[in-house]
Amino acid sequence: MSSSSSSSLPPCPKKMITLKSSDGETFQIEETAALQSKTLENMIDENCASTPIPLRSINGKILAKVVEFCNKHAEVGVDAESLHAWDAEFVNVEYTTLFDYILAANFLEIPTLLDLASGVVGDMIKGKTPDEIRKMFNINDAFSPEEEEEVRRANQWAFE
Amino acid sequence: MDPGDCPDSGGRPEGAADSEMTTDSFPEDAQKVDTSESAEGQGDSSSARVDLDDDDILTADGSVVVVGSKSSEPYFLFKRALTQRVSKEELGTYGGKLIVIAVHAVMQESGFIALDPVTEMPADRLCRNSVSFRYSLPELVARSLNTPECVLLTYKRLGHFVTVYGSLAKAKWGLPRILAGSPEVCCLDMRRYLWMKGDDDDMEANEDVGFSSSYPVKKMLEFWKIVKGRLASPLLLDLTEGTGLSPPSYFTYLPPELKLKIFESLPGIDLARVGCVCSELRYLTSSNDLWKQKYADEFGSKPVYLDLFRRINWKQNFARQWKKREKRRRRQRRSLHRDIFLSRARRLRLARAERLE
Repeated sequence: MSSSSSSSLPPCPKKMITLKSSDGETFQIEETAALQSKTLENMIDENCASTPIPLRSINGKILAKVVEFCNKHAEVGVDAESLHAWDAEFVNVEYTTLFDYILAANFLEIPTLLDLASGVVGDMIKGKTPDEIRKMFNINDAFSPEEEEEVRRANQWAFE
Repeated sequence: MDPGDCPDSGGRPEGAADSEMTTDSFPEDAQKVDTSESAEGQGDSSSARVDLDDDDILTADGSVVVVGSKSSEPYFLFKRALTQRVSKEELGTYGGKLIVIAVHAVMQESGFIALDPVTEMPADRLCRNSVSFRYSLPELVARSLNTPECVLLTYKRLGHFVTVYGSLAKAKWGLPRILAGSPEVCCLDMRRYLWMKGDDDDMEANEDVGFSSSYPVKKMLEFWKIVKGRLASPLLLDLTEGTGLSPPSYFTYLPPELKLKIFESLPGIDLARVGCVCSELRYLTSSNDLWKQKYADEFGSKPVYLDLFRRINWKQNFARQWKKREKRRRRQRRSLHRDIFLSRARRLRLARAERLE
C-alpha cells in the first residue's frame, strides 16, 4: 500500500539530467541517482544541469556502465546482500575497464564506485610477486640490477 | 592562455630575454655539463655523480640540467632539485629553474625524453635559458626521419607561481603547431614546493628510499603527484593516442593519488612488494602516511605521543614488528609440531606396549 501512495506522491515527472560522453553519446539519468556523484550534485545545486553535461574524459561505453551503477545504487528496497552480489558482477571485468571505472568514479566523485573498483584492483595485487605484478599491468620499466638488489634487500621481510 | 602565445626561445637563447624566468644571458657553451653516453659507456658512473654536485646542477645563473640515462636518475635529479635550500631572495633568481628541473625529472620518469631545440634529436642536457621544452618518446624518435612528434612544455612565471602548460606539438624549427586538445595546465607555488631556508616543519626520516638525510618528503610526494597526474600522464596519453602508438600501461596512466587509493586496501606485505615493482611505485609506496595506516591496521596504533616527534619511519617500524611476529609464529608452529610428534610417539609406544602385553 505504502508503495502505491509514495509513487503517487510526486506530482511532477521525475527530474532527469543529461550526460554527454567524450564520443558524443548522451545518457539520461534521474537526478536522484545522479546525486551519488558529488560532481554532478554540485552542478545540480548550482543549476548547471539543465543542459547536457559534457564529460570529456569518459567515453560512452564506460559512462553507460557508470549510469547503470548509479541507477542500481539509487534503487530503493534492494537488500545489502543482493546489491553486494550485483556489485561483484559489475566489477567482474578486465582490469583495463576497472581502471576506466576508477578514473570515471574519481572524476565524477562517486565514492562507492571508487572504493569498489580500487578494492578489486587491490585484490588483484594481493599475494603476487613484483614480477607477477609487472606482467599483469604491463609495466616494463624495471630497475637496474643494483637497484633491484637494493630494493630487495630493504624489503627482504616481505619475501620470507 | 594558449601556449602558442609564448615565445619559443628554445633555439635562440638570446631571445629568452622576454621570459620572466630567465635571469641573464650567458655564453651557451660554458654552462653545459656533460653526462653523455660516452661516460655511461665506459661504465664510469662516478662521473655522472660528480656532474650532479650542487654547484653543477644549478650554476650561478641557474641554467644547467643534466639529463642522463641511468634508470634511477630521475629520482636523483628530482630529489636534488627539491632539496636545494633556497632563501626568499634566491626564489626569484633560480626558484623557477629548480621547478623546471623537478618537472623534467617527472617527465623523464614517465618515459619522455627531452629534445634538443636545435637539432630536434634527443638531448642529453637541458641547458638553455628557455621557457619551453620539447619532449618526445624513444619510439617516436626511432621511427621519424627528421622531426619526431612531441609535446611542448611551456613555463610562465608570475610572482612565486610557476604555471606549466603542456600540449601536443609538432616540433618544427621553433614553431610549435598545436595538434589537438586543450593544453594541460599545472600551477605550482614555488614557496610551497621548494625547500625554503628556515622551513623545517615538514620533515620525515625516510631511509628506505635511499635518502639518508631529513628533508621535506611530503612536499616532494605532493609535487610528484601533481606533476605526474596533471602533466606527464595526460600528455603521455595524448601523445600516444595522437601518434597511433600503443597506449601506455593502464596502470602507469592512473594518476598517483588513485594508485595510492588502491594501495590503501593492500596489506603491508603486499605494499612492500608493490614497492619492488618499479621506481615510481617504489617512490609512491614510501609514503609515510600510508605506512602509518598499515601499521595501525596490522598492529594497532602506537601511542600518540610517539607521533608528536614526526620522525617515525612507519615502514621500518612495520617491518620490525612484522619480523618479530613472524619469528614468534614460527616458534609457535615448531613447538606445535613437536607436541604433535611427541604425542604421536607416545601413542605408538603405548600401542606397542599393549601389543606386547
